[in-house]
Amino acid sequence: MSATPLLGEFEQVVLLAILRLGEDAYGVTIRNEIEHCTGREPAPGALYTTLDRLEEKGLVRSQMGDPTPERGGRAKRYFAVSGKGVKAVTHAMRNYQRLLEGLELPGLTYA
Amino acid sequence: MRKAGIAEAILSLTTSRDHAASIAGDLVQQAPFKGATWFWGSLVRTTASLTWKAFAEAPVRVTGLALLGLFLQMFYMLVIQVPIVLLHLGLSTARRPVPSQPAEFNFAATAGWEYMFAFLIASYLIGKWLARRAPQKELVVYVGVWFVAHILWLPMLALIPGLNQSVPSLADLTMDIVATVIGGLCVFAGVRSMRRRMAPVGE
Repeated sequence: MSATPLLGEFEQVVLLAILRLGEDAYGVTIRNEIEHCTGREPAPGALYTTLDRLEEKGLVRSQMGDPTPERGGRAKRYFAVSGKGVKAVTHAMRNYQRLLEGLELPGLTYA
Repeated sequence: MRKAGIAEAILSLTTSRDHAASIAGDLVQQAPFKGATWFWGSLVRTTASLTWKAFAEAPVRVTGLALLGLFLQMFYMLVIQVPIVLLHLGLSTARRPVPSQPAEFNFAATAGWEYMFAFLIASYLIGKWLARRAPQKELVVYVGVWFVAHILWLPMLALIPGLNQSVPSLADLTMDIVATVIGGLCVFAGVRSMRRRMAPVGE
């Protein structure tokens, strides 16, 4: 049985954004979702290198869509989180929850 | 759309054709809301990130290819320059006013143009070589060639007899920037030419 891969903070953010977007997850929407949820605008370079890395680790899959005119005739590259990716992000979130248990942070209370 | 084509062409020097097209499409899609400065800035930053990623994944291979690329570039320049120098020498011998006198040939007067001509042709040939040896990673290897050449260039300035210079002058740096830009365009032209030749029939 292979160990669950450890994720960096930005990798977790990207995986969660893809999960939230479902079937409409591609570069632009992933970037917008991260900005909407976290208030920070990810650098395009960081986003694409992270997506490539996640795909190389087998945590996401990608497939090309159809070309569209508003994109200068370029196709979208759609992303989906793989089973391994879901497992890795779940593991990471559980770790966060364990760390937060019993803490009282401003506006947040964890039992 | 012209800028989409430019973006895709630049990005394809760092990643696969499909990925380059999709990233270029993402940038084009957002450009109307974020502006031209954002578009070109994002293109530069994305290209830089992908170039760094390519180096970080295989630093030894990239460095080895960069050294080989520099050696090849110097070899090509030598091969191109020698016949030009011999041609000059032959012409000045044939045109001397008094046949019994030795030919007067001013190497310094022609060296700059010969060097630049050889550099540009060698850059084009290096582009072709890069497209064969480092497909989709051409940019990182060429940046490596540039770095290695400059690491060697500074000590050479101090070692060349009569140059009496340990740091480059402003004129040297300006010339270097111009040569880097024009040489880079020649490399790019070489890459495109070789890719067209290597592309499957009908593409």
